Amino acid sequence: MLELTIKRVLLMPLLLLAASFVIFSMVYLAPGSPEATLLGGRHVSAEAYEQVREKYHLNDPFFEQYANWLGRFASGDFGDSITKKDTVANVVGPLIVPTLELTLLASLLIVVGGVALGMVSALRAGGPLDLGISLTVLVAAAVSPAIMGLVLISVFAIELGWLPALGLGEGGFDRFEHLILPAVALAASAVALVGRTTRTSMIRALNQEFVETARSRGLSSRSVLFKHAFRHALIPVVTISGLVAGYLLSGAVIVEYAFGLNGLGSLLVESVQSKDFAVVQAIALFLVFAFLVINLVVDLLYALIDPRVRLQARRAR
Amino acid sequence: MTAWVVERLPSLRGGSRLLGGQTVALLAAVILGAMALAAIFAPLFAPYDPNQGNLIEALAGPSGSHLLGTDGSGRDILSRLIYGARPSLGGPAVVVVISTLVGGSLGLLGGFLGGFLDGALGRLWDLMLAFPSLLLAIVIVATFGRGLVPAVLAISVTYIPLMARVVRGLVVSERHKQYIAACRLQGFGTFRLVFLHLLPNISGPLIAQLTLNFGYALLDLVALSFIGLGVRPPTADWGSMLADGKSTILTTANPVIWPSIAIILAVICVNLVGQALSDRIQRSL
Repeated sequence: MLELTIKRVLLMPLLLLAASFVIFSMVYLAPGSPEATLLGGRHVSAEAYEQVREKYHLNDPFFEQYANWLGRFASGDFGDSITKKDTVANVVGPLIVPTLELTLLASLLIVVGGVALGMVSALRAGGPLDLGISLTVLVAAAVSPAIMGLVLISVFAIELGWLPALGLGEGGFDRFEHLILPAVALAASAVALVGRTTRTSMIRALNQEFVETARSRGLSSRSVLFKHAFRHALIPVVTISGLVAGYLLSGAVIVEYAFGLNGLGSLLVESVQSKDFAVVQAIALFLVFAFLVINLVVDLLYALIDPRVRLQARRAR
Repeated sequence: MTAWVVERLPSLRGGSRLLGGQTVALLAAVILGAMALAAIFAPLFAPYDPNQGNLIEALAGPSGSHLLGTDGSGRDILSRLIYGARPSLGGPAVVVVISTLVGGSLGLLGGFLGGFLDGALGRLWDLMLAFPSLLLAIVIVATFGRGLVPAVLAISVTYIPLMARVVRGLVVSERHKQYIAACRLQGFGTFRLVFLHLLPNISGPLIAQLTLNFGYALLDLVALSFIGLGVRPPTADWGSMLADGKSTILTTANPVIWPSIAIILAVICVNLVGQALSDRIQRSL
């Protein structure tokens, strides 16, 4: 277990390094010269042109540029945003919070909603409630966050006027109110995925011999359900949570754009459109980092829940 | 790792059984076929020019002259839906073809040959999968510019590691089976072995996977077009229709409703067909 953890933790910086290389080379390969973007289409003398190239180290060989960029990145200097006329750290930093709040709220909905739906569906398997949930899940899985967002805006914000549609609000409870619809839009299809997985694995768990054994030992049905079957059923759910995390990070971009939330996602879209590459690089690398950390946590969680993984790791040693 | 990929796919088995299994899958296939025909013969079906708007008629509801109403620029929504099916269904089809050809052959190569190549490819897929899929597509589009072609290529790239892993997993599980050894004993060349014996044996799960990928790619393309990085206006596309509808949503939801229905219907149908295929294959195994 410890060895597995160490291996995973050591692999992470390597993957991050490789990802940074990919991100840097993409921007390097991008058609259109960076100095043209820097100069914003203004005509300048050849001398000033050369000065710009010199200032941004554009004359250096590729690997030197990459090494310099990486060095600056590692020391916390993420460069300057061309469009915002500020350092990338100042532009990106404050926007991490709303994105984090949005994804955390959505994760909560996914875990609670998905598992609850799946459990109810499994316990009432074949009944009308199960049928209703299964149909909802079938449709929800086909709904992209963009559609869900627009539907929620038009129903709950415009038609009913219950919740605000756009922006982040003033903070505190107002902020929470503004995040409800975006979080639901982001969570919907993942709730469907988690619900379906929970349903299948719970039904499978309930048919296992150990559940029968537990029942025959006279344990209360609550104990059988939650202590024995549920824990067994949770394993496939944890397996897909890495996938759900990737979906959340991708979906947050769409949802923030749909609801006009000022977060990392909408800034990423804006920066891509305005070719503000320093910002794109920083956000992309941050999201990759977040994704890797989440996957690491998922793997460790997996070992925590599934005793077989721990045993295997111990035996491997 | 195959387990991971399989888990990634929504298992709609519960859903399809509850809807009556094969009949529903057949119905879904018919709907998809109709959509494809409408896309191919768009000029025959579309009542209006999809890009020609009449601002006086903007944001009209469904009526006799405009069956599904008009959008914010007064363009006929039905015509835009029909023409929009071209990039919205054609794009994902191209994604599936590219990712299967590139990812599939690399997975085949790695799985069949093993050794250093297999390990190196495996690390490459690790790296590509370290990016949340849509993020990788966004970074690629950021680099090579917006538009349908870059968006489709970008999404194809994100599906390459997935297909490579699936094919590799299937090949590795087949490699040690007896029929392969039997082929070898008969002195078959590698080419004949792979294309006439190995591939037909893994084609079942592969086709099911491709079908499901089509649905995911459709949603990815919608997402990219929605945030303005995919199909460029004024070209009709279901994702960009959503984006157009978003700007007038305070007045009416009508322009948003129809592309949403088209997207959801297409994805549900694709998933049902894919699930039916994989169920059928599982039964025949």
